[in-house]
Amino acid sequence: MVKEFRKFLVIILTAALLLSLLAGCGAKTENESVQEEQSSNEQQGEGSASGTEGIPSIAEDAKNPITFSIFVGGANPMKGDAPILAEMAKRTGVSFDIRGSGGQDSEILSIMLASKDYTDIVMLPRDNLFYRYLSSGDLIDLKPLLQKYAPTVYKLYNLPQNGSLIDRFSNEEGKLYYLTQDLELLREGEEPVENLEASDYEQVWLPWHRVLYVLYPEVEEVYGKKITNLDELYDALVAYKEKYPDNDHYAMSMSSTMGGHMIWAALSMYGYKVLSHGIYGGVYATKDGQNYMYVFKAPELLEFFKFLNKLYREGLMDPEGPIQTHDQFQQKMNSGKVFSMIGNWDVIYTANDSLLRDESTKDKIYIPQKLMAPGVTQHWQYNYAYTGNNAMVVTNKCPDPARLFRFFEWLYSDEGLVLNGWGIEGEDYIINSEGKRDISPEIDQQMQADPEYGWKRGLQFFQGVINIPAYTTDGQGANNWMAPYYKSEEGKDPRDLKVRQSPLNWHNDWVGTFYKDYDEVDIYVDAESPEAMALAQAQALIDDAVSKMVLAESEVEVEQIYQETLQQMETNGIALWEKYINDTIASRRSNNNQ
Amino acid sequence: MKKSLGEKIFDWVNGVLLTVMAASMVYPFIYVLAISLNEAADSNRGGIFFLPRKFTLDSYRIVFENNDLVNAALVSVGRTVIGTVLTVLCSAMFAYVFTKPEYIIYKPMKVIFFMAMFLGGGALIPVYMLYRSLGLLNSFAVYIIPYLVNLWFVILFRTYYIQLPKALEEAALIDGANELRIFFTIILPLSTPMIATIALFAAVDQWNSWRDTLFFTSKESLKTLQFVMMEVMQKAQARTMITRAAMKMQRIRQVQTADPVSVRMAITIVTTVPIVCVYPFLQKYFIKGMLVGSMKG
Repeated sequence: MVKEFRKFLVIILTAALLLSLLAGCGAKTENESVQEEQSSNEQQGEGSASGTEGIPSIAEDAKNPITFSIFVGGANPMKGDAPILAEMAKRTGVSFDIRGSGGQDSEILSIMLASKDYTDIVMLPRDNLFYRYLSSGDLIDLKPLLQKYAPTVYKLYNLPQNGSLIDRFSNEEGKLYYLTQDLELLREGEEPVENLEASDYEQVWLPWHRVLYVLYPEVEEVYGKKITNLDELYDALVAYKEKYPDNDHYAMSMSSTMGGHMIWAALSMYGYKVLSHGIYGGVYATKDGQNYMYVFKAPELLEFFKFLNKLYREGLMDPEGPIQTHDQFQQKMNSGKVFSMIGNWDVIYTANDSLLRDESTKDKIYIPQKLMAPGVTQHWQYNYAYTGNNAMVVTNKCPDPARLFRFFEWLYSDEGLVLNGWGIEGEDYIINSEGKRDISPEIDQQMQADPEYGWKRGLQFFQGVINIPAYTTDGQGANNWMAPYYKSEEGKDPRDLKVRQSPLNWHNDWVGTFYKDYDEVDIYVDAESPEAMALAQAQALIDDAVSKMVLAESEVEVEQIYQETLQQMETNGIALWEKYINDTIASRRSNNNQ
Repeated sequence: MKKSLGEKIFDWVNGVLLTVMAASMVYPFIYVLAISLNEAADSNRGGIFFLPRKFTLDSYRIVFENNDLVNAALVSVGRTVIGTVLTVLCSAMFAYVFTKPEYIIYKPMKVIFFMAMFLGGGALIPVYMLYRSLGLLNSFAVYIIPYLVNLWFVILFRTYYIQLPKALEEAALIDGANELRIFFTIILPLSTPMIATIALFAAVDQWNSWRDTLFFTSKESLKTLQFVMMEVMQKAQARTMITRAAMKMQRIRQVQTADPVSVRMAITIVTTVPIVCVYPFLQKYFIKGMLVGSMKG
């Protein structure tokens, strides 16, 4: 009996196995279906002479509403029914179900990847999970879609002046699985909004620098001139402390999480070019443009850390600085009781805004100072060939990729650009007496009164999705930050007007500190590789090491901490990562020369 | 009886220590309350410790004007009330079965029970896939069903039931009551302290939970109060993805990366106070329930 049962079981199991195999052979995966559809679309595209035959117009599309789900991550993304996005939906029939992650991007992205429960469009940070998505087989090749349904987008992305992005991001098989964002694209003959390479370049707004920032007019009162090196900085700090000896004023402050930015600022002072993944935090540096090293390994840094330590030991550094959180640090900066900081611009934007809003500090403003170490002749601030931190991918869950790309083509039209970048006429912008798009003082007031204005209105949502042209075809700015109002006396920061009249006017100080080199940016390492692990471990050590060095009791201890940290990084294999960076750059340059 | 000097010193030290401990627990509430009642722009400059510097209720006005928060509050209340009632009921019933070794399902359930105890809740991705198979994703049920039986609560209930006199059940059986009737009319009414204790645990868990909203729902209408609060807090910390476009918008002060600290604190108060208010009403039962469980275990 038992024997017969076993026999029966074996037959049943074998039959089930065979059936499942046959089913597997016969069934198309979702991805295969999409690829097939794509290939048939491609063939159709090749067959049409104009490339637009048979493609519905946006007016026709508008009659068939469709919603695409898009994962943008972050804590509180815009809402798909915000007025401007709703207006877009009215005109094109395309609306977006925008999904965030409550700030837990990597968890949500991992779940989507493992369960294959993707949104139609996914915004990925290029330093995490990106490679696993690329190798998942679940992404759609965007090149044929761009060529057929969004030729303007394709053309602008691939212009050499915009970095030939299609070619750069296509893989060895010529397939394009992602597009980046956060770069203002130019048509042929157009000039950049801010020509950082121009010899007479004047920085209009506060820059995106990692430098020394000092409080104006305090710096004028206690020091009277620009601070150009660490010795002068020391003198200025001493003078400030003499004027404000109480414990409520800080000659210099920092937070426990800004070590990476401080290092970037310091290395710029020593003549290094500092590079990063994206625009946030320095990762690798070079002095000769040939040999790239992990930032912490630059030997000059030890001198800089000793300087910070000296400030701490002499009471010139905020005693809570190395251990305080970013929020605590930001609050001190906002109060105008911190004379200086070395770090990133984002703290300064918030602080300057806060200072202006309070009657007692409305005349104060933090301004950048260009430090140079002795013997250094060139200060490098930023390689602006950077092409965006996020990648947009379209997954095989997307119900109608062609429709999505027809929408992107519309977005690149003047109508789409104005709606995205300026909003709705009469509500978000006006047409001024010269017939140009502009911001009225009333609208400006509205925007400033409500810090969430842009978020609530759905303004410039697509800046975070794909690259957007800088101008509309009539030569006007495609985004409201280019409004003529902001160039008028009324629209400018009153404090900045004063700084411009003083010896502390910094607006021309950064000429020649920006450069553009595509070969040394956009280098990403597979998240699972030993190189990536080594980098992650090194990055995890930096903030802690900087805080410890500032807090050290003597210069000897600073040196000891520095050497131990270096040793730890070497043990973790940072040299592997450095080799990868150097090899990649060398290989790109060699390919360019061929 | 007169206290000795040592006892007096002990009382004083005890009093001081307990006062310090109480202050350390109360102070965060005072701090959060003070900032939430201060003008938002002024709070961003720091330096507020006990009392608001520029008193205003603006932050609360902003919070209560937010339609998302009203909806989130309803979801939170809903899941807390429904979830707590069902968790208590199901855990209590499940535990009752574990006091009956004579039941046929006793042994298999015991095996499942211990396996679940030792293997834990599972990693996130398998759990996600399980919920997807069960059709729980993007539904209110995901807040209720996975929490129906909590093994820790089952142990507490079982420990409590065991110490109830067997004679009560036997008398009911002789009078013709079936198990269901015995459970609902005799066992459950006698378990009030334990029900209150577990209701408190379950309610706090439900009220504070935000990870299930994050991982298993994407609908705006299913956001809970704690999830909204988490978003607000995360918004303040998520500075790593600042783009050039965001920077330009920030230049013309069209966008702010984080809500003012006063608004964050007002949300903290709004989300914390309701559950804090539940404690005093259940405290009496809570202590009794905990003591019974611990001494008879």
